[in-house]
Amino acid sequence: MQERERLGSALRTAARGLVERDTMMEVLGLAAVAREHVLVIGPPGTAKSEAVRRFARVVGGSWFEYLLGRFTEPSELFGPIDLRRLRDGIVETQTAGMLPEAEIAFLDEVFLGSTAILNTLLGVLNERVFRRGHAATPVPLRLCVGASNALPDDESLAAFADRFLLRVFVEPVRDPQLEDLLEAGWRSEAPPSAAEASIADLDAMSALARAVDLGAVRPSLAQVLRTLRAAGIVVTDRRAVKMQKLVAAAAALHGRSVANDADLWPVVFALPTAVAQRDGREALKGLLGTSDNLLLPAAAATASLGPLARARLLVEEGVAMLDSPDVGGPAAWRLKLEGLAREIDAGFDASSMPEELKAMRARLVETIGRAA
Amino acid sequence: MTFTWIAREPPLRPTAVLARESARTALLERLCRCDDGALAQLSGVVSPELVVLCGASDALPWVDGAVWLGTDAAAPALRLPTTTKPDLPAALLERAVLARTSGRLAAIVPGTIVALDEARPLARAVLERWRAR
Repeated sequence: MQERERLGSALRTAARGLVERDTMMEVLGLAAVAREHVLVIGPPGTAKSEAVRRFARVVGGSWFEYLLGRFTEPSELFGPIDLRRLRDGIVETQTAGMLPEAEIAFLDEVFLGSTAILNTLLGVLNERVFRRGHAATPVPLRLCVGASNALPDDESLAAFADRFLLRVFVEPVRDPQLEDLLEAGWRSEAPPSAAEASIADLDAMSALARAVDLGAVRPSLAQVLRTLRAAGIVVTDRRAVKMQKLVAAAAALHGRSVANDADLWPVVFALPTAVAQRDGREALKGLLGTSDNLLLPAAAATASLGPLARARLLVEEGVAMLDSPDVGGPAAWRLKLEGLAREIDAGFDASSMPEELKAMRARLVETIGRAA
Repeated sequence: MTFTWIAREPPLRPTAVLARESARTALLERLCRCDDGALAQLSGVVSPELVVLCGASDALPWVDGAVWLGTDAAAPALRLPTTTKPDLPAALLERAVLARTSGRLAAIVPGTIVALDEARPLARAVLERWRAR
């Protein structure tokens, strides 16, 4: 299906030049198709806003971005009162270019917003409706990404935080990838300038997701929830029901019209804290062992640690590496190839290695041998 | 003590590598090509039969045919195959292996136990001598 291919290509383009942000980019794609929102938690300077900006660019959506502060006025997000209409006695908001007209939105430091802002946002996120007084206007919002350095301690913000079904926790780039970060930053790889997909493609995938048959996978999903409860991980009923949208979106993005156990992995990203996601991953490793997704391999591998998803990710990395010898020189390229070969050999027993990964390994070994 | 090796999912992150036969030869060649900075990140034991290197995952050189070892949190004194595990508690195995080696650190793969207490930083001259043999 062309929409699926365009969306997959768009996600890969958007992630190019960012280091260790493939999973986050793919979760944005999943969320947009599922019509759910994402909370990204991480320290400043970890490319949170850049990743979302790139996503908006590659899907061509109308974009709104704002850094909230304690003194941010509602008009800074939703638009000022239209003074000309006010003279006629009508309270109306000028929303042109503001959040109520955005298809993709990024709100940095989202929990710093005032009560007035958060209450209005609840309606926008939950019901896709902007309310001002008696007026209730539908909004075209497909995806809202909220960012914060940490989850809020304040209980009063919990209800608002719960509107973000998906959570991605990002950390600064790991030590082994620092050279890649420096190189990518120095090259200042130009962010994607042209949309490779469109909002219409997202809408088409969302429609497919809504039509996915979940009958066969529901018992497994229920078992996932029971397993999480037994591990002491609390999942609210609302969150449990909404997880089905993520499973359906994963199936649609893979190209399945009937969801199966391979599509359960997104539930990990719906667990509310980093600890819950870590413990959930561990508790569910048996149930998520068959996880796999053609378009979202990094996210599936991160969530499930399953062999199929890991294998697919390694094959993709191998293809990318072999097709573009490192600009750092032959020695650096060879080290990268060896690093990938090490990851394959350390991650898979030869007897149970998927065929595609076996073939990739053979290519790597041959290339390394030639480069010696 | 008898036990069986069973599949481990997810795999352990490698913290050591063991090479025998042709992989041993290839690994010694590979180490001799490393610069001093790369060698400084590794420690190991070398014998006529095998080489075992310990170090951070990204510092361990790759050769075809090597066996990758990792650290199970339940048995921190052992280096176990990354993709398999014993079908008994790892802590029990650790106790048995260390009793056998009378040491504090060891690697174990099917059929072989290697004491790692004598693991040393790699000296280029020593590597060259082993490679030349």
